[in-house]
Amino acid sequence: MAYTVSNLISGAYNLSGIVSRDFESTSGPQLNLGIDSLNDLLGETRSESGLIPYYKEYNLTAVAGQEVYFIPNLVEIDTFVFFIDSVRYSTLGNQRQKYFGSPRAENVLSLPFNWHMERTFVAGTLPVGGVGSGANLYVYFKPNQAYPMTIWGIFGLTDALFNDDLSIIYDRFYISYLRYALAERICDDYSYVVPENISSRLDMMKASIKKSSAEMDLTQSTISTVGQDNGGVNYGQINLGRGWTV
Amino acid sequence: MRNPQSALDQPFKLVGSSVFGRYAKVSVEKTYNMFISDEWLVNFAGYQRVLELLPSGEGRGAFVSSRGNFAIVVINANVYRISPTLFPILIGSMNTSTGEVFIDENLSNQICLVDGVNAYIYHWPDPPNLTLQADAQFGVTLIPNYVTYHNTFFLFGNALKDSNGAAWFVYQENAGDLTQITYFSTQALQTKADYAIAVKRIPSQASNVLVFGQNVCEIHSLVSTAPITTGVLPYRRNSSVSIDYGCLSVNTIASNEDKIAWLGVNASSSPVIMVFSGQKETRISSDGIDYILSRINRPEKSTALFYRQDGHLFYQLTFYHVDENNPENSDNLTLTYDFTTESFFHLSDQNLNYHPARQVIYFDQQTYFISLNNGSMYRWSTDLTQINEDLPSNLVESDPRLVFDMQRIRVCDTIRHPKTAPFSVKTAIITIDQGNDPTPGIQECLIYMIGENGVRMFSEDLIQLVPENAGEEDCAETPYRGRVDLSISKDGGETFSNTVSRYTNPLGVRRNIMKWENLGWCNELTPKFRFWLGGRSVVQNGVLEIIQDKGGAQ
Repeated sequence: MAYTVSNLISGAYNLSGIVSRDFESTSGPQLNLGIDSLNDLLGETRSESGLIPYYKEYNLTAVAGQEVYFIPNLVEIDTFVFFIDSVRYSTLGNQRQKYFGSPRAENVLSLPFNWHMERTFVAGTLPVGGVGSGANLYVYFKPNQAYPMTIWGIFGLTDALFNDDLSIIYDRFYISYLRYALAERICDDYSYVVPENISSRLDMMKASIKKSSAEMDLTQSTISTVGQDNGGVNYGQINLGRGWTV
Repeated sequence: MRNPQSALDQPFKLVGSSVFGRYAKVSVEKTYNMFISDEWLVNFAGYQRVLELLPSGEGRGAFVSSRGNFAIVVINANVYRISPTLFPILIGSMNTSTGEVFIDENLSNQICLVDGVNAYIYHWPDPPNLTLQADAQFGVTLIPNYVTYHNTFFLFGNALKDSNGAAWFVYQENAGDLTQITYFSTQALQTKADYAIAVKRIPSQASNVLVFGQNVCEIHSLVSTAPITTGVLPYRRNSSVSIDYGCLSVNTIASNEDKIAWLGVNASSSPVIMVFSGQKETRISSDGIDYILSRINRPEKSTALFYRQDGHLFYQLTFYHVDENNPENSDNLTLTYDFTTESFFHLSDQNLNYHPARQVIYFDQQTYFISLNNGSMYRWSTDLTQINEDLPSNLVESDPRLVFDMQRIRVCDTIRHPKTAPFSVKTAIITIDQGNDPTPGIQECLIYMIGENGVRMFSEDLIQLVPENAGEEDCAETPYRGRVDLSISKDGGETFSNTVSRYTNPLGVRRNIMKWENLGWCNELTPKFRFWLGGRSVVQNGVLEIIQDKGGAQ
């Protein structure tokens, strides 16, 4: 059965105690405030990725010579790979200092085996897809051809519209979480004390979502402190290995 | 308290009367067809048709002769004598067929009837002999407008609106012909330039009568019964007391015990309900009621009655003008004032129109009224908890199409925080008598056959005919359960929500709590209850569980 955004907002108002479930309907201004608050709530998941329940796959194609790729809504990358024919190649994520601060050759096009993600917001005219919030994916080497690339990561939740059917977008438990979270936010908007049962239930739901829904991959990987990694790529690798030796 | 946190128990006045204000924001508090008894709100009397004298028309007057042990009832132009077994005898006809008829009896077994045009005498020991009165005064200086008996005299108010209009008349029996009365004297209203439209015996004051004008009332005392030839008038005005309110409609004059009530008005004041008791008059209507009374279009289309029921003394006032061309100009209202609790209540029929009672009599241990709407008599009692328009029969059950629930409604006072701070209502709880409703169960598949004229079809043995497989023996019975509807207003009673229902317990299950949850957030709340109960309604004050930051709602 469809569970629309309007249902969710009305449910949150009922839950908060501001609108009676049986005696009255949620008014137009209340619905408008509700959807604003809901979209705020969904937007906040971009800064608190622990409340996003799932990792998602995102495919893109490399452009020869292009280092930066804007990925809408991207919050966090867990894995990044590229493909040559039917073979998948892993890559190495670099922290900001290493990626931007270490020496490297800028004029070589090759395999994009190093990457770095930087959260960003595209101000002004929105890019394709209409989402300004997301992340820039930096790759190095700059690709020498159009490699298919795949990201597994956490993506922010997109804005909702009144008639969106949430039952085909989110799990029931997550809809329930959104209803409680929205109820709390509505109470804030109305300067109304949040009912205790909402606060306690919401805390329980947040903990549960953070704990089990978007479970992190905690497989241990270590970086040797005595290895050859000096923070850059030398010309041997560039001229001879061309990335294959990394 | 079921909601721990900071929930407060906020009582609300479910037990209350109609004390609504001039504007809804002030108060919309109203009570329909219920009254306060020992701080509980209980059902007002239901009624059942017991005698049909004419199939249509209107009941105009009713009177009980305690000496003769019969009742006089006027339906349209017909005057009936009713025996204690409710057997009617037509004793005559009047020249008019509509409007209120006033009746009183003297010690000579004469019953005088006045219809606002003529006076009639019925000498009840004789065969039917309703006699139109005619002499030098009737129709010339006296158009009888009202009659009351007082110390051997019939006293007539005057409907004339000319120079003779200030005169009221004293008559006594005609000893030679007891179907006649004889002119005795002419008295006058004197305090203001006014018309003496009615004279009423003051209850509990042996010698005094109240003379009603349109702007003033006077107290007159009987000072002499000597023949007028002595030059002494029988009545003398009390020169130290008058009431600066007259009467808007003689139909609204009613008395009982030590009180006379009427719809009062004067040259500079809009209508109010006045009561004269003891030695002084008082205004009993509130601001809201006075405003409604000032909006009455046709005050002469009114009636009032005074009666005691279950120990409570009620003055009931009805305005029943129907303007079919301009319904907005119609008057459709019944108010009753309970002198015991000093409270007003609304009354209505099953359609929330005015209450049909026009005049009431207590006859043979029962209370009856005649109806404004038809030519029938009704029994009226709090033992009756529904409105039954079917005539009683020992042989067949009442036609369910003619049995109606009473409109029992309570609009409570508005609950507000002293500082207008909003609050959230978690629960509304009321205490209500349940499990004692003897209303028969509902047989869903039962079908009564009726003819083309809508009348039920019976066999020769007076058994109701039903289609095959649609009789009582074929239908499982669902136990009757009453229903209570709650709707709420969050804008000071201007608009109300949809209704949310709770069903009462079936017979024998007497748990008495009924509650509604999650009524929402507001800074003022007005609950409205409707009690759809076949049996009695007995409810106590309710409680709201509210949550707010601090303080308490009131």
